[in-house]
Amino acid sequence: MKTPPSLTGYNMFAVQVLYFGASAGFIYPSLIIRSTTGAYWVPIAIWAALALLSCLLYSKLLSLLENESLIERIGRSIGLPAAFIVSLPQLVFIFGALVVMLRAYSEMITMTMLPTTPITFLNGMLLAPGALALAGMMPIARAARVLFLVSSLLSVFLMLVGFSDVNWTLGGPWLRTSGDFLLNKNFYSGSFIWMGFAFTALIGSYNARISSRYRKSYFFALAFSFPMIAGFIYLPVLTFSRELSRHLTLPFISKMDSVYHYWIVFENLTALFVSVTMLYVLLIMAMKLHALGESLKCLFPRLKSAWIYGTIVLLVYAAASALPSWRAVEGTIFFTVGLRMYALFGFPLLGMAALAIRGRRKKAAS
Amino acid sequence: MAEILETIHRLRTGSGNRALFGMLRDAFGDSADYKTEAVGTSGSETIYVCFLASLCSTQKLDLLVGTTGIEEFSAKLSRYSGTSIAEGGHEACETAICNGSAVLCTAVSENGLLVDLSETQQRSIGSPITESVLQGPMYAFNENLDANTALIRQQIRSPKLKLWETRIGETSRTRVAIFYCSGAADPDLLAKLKERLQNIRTDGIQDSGQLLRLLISRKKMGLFPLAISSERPDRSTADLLRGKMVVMIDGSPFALTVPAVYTDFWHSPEDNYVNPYVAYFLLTLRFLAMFMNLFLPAMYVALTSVNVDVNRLEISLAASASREGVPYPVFIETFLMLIIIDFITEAGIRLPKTISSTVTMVGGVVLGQAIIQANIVSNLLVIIVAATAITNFIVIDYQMGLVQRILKYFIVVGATVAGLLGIVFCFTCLVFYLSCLESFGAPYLTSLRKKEASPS
Repeated sequence: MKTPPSLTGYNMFAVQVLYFGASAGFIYPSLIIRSTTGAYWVPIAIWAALALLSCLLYSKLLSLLENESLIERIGRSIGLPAAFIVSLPQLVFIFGALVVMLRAYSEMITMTMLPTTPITFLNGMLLAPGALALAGMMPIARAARVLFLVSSLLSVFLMLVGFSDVNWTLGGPWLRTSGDFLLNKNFYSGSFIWMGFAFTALIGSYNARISSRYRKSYFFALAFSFPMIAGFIYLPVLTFSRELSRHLTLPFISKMDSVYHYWIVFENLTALFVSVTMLYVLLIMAMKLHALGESLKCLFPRLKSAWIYGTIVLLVYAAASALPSWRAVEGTIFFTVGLRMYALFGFPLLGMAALAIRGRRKKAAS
Repeated sequence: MAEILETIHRLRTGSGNRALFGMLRDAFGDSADYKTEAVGTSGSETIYVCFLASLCSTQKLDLLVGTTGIEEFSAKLSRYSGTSIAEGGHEACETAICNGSAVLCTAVSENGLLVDLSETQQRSIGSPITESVLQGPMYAFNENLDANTALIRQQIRSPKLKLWETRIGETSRTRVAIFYCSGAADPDLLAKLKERLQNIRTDGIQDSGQLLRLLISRKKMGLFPLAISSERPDRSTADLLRGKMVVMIDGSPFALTVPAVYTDFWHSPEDNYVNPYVAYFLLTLRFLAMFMNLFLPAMYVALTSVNVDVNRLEISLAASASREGVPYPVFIETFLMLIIIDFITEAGIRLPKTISSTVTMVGGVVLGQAIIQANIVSNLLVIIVAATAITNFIVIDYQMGLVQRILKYFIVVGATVAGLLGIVFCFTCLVFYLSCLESFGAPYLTSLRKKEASPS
């Protein structure tokens, strides 16, 4: 039997790094800065550990598949209606993640570069990821490789120039933490940047070998992105101090605004950062749309792909345009924490349970 | 050659309306170059030679024409040294005459004898015109398929080099050949390519570019070229050794190499002949040129009209000062200049070389100076447009260069609408589009490195 095409380890690595780049740069720093008075790296590290745990759970689940997609297998194990119920929170979560990412990025553009352009027009950028999502998984992977090459170089450059004009004493405490973030909603709201593996688990066909390969890639991507995520949080703090950073809506953007070097061709590095983020965001929206579209295709096999993707794009566009303000975006991030927890831990556990039920039935039948 | 005469004597006699001579006269009657000459007798019947004078060699014709008796004809036939003489019916004779053969028949015979007297008109092997290099082989394909086959065979002297041939075109019956190295080429792709070629239905094809259009279904027709079009035998043979396939047609000096990926269009054959570090430097230069060509005019639009604060203040002030007195918006100004430079480029290509240099001079210097003095465009834009035009000529592949010329207009529109973000959006859309393309089963966006493979 011909093995269905799957992403290479490098493709997966590129997609995951792009995911971190797309989600960690604009909302996340303010959430983490507001979540604690202790060391910032602690909440990041805790979430990274939880993300690894979730990745292991998914990996275990995906290793049980035999060259088939996850939703398809769950559907065959417990029936399509039950699979739909199990997947529904996951699908709502992806939909919400798409709406938030689109709207948040459009808001960021309005705040920084195009203040007079209507949000409804900017939201139209969703068409490009929609078309790529419809084209399939391999085109997404190929685009990811190119965009990773371009954006990672620029991101590293921005991080390096971000180290200018920093005062290391402003970053403290470096080690002490009181665990106060555990009671802070911003700590939980920031969970969205750790969902990369939960999206890719819904794309493509898996077996034990592919699952193991993807797990390794995710670990590498996390290790590669950790300094970048820390940079998004620490660089504004080291420049503006904790107190001032706490009041900034987009701390890293403000940091980029403050960088000035005579030898840099551009005066405004914010524009460069927003442009690089666009590369990340468009690709990741395509990946999310594809995950949602493919899951729906498995659950409703009779529906045509073009209709599914067209409807999703329209709904996401409408929902993103309907959000009234930036505060509503932040509110949506907080209200969907439960869905994200389900996607991180609940769904893989339920998936394993569904596959176990199928296994028992098979045994009983034989 | 006694057997030839014997065969002529044995030619079957047909009834009046089925006689070959009459049928050929009906078929070619309105062609001024169709000739029939009596060359001898076979019993009571006169032997005729029928041919198209434009396709037959005059020297070889002398062999048959101008004889006065059967003895002289017999003597001349003994000097015939062409391919073996075949016998054929009406259709075979018609095809043979179109291919430059002569038909020997009597007025009543049903069949005829086919004598190969063809002479192919071709130019000699010359230097490549569209892919010139400073180091490397200096000869190019010409319009003759047999000559081109010889050029390839001279570079790969191995039985692993295979050649599959067919004819395409209901009327033109053009010869089309696929070259491949057995063991290196993908057999599935080869089978698909053969099938696609055999399924082509058209009256005729004149060039390999036209063949490519016919090979790609209308639904998959895109902006980017999906095969490398090359007139250099060394490039084609290097691709053959890497497992690609080369398609050539009789009458076109351009070979198509399939499958082709995006980065293939940026490699010059010269890259293999110079120091690898130099080759990488040149490759980087070409990619930089590509980015400049695509994005420079758009950057001008974005930085002078939408994102004025992004640029250095000094440059913004200089740009504003140079635009002082220009009555149009930046978009119109840029579009106007890009269109004019494309006019000049086209004029330079189409005109004879002696005149084209004058046009370039008039267009580039005189028009450029005048347009600034008339306050129609800023002098900064003239610099940008000139740089854009120069970088377009760095593109190795002519077809890719044409695509770039079109794409820069779209990116200028993107920059007009959303400034820098519009440019980035257009770039991302371009990457998305390229990632969706496939050239004969191979993804268009693959590694930057050329894959090395040799026939096993």
